[in-house]
Amino acid sequence: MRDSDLHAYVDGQLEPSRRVEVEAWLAEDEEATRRVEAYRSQNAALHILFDPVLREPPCTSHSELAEQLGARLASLRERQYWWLRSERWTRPASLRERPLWWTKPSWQRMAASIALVMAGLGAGWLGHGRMAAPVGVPAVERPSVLSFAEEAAQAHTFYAHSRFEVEMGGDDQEALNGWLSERLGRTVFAPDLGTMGYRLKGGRSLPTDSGAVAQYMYESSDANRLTLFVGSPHVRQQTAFSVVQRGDLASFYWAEGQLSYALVGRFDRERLMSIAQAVHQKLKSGPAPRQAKPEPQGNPDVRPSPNPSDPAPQPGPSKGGDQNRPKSS
Amino acid sequence: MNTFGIELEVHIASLRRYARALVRQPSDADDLVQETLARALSRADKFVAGTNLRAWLFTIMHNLYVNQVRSRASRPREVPIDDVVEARLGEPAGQEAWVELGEMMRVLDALPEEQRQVLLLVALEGMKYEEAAKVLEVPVGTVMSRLSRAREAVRVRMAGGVAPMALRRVK
Repeated sequence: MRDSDLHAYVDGQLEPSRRVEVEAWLAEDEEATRRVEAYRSQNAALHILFDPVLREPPCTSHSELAEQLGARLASLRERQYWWLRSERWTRPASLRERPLWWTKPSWQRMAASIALVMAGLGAGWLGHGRMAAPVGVPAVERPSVLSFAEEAAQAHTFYAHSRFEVEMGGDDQEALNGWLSERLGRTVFAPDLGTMGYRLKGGRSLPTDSGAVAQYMYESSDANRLTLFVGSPHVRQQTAFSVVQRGDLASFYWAEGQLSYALVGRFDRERLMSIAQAVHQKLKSGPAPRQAKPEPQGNPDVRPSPNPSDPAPQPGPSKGGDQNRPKSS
Repeated sequence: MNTFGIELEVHIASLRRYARALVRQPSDADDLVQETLARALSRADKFVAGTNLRAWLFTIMHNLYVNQVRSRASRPREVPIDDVVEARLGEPAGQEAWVELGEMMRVLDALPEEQRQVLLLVALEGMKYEEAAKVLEVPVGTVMSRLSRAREAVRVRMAGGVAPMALRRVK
């Protein structure tokens, strides 16, 4: 038994299993028990002495500074988000040393970050109209390359109302997944969103600065469109959950493993949350059972009509150049 | 109204408590908190979103405090200990407790600065050892050894008076 165990026991910083061991030891060792008692008394005395400070009315000068600090941190958080996104595309190697918001994905964190970012929209620089008019944003804040989430939002805006909404239909999902997996060089699949009321319409591949990305398009019975944008940026093992809302168009972004995802659609926050959660879970649990063994290479025979040997196909039969011109409403 | 409002409110209350335990004089302690917030504001861009905000604020305060101590060459001890203790005992808790608390305050003040900080961060602020290590910018092992020495020193000195301590507010 080490001295540090005794302290960790007093401070409640022991693993439960270790705690049991320490208690067994204390039952045998009177001297150690006396020390524990004394340390606890010390803790108690410190609280009696200084806890009343917690109940004092806050200082006006503190409150004012706190308000400014809070607003500043919220605004910086927004900027950090965009900055990281832009760096991801331009200087991925340097990003590896850069700490991100979160290192491990979990739904709780995702939800927490949504709530924070959403709340930040009011106070942060997004609230100052820069999102609505990104052209005027200074170079530092304005990514030189479109961020993944923004690119996804633009692609959504463009294709969700295009005559050429999908490149390949979703009737044969295995063929669609196989084809897009081949395009991306990684296994991707369209999660089944039937439980959320969305049916897969199909997908397309789009060229971006980080290589090809897949765009899956879904549709609800009331013709509401939802797109899932999947790509594989150069940077690995980074996860950031972020949400960008512009008008009623919400874009929800996260990364997992080597793939990044952006879910885009016209919904409010609650709807976005529930759909994003469903997508996240479906992606984690893998393809639907009937596609339990997705074949990334696909079958050459089921390749779709657009020239498959072209490494960077122009999206859609026409208007390829329009993809960089957002038609946000 | 902003995202960090409630979180900051909680942290500022802890910063005030820690500052009060460190510098004792209420107005000096509040000045230290104010300086901390002002510096945090000027360095807000150094804060990485999603990391430990409390540890970041305490680190700033720690550094300011260390500089203060250095420039004054000694810890300020302007407030008579008895006044503080008396102020802390709104309800009469009995002579024994009064003596204990007064003694505790004296013993705390007699601790080497480094040990005092660790003891306050862990025992009063309830920080994890790793968090205290981050705030003080020392290895966790150093936190443990300082904590151990601080607690033993307090225990030995307190044992000189009334047996261990009559305080039994915490099981």
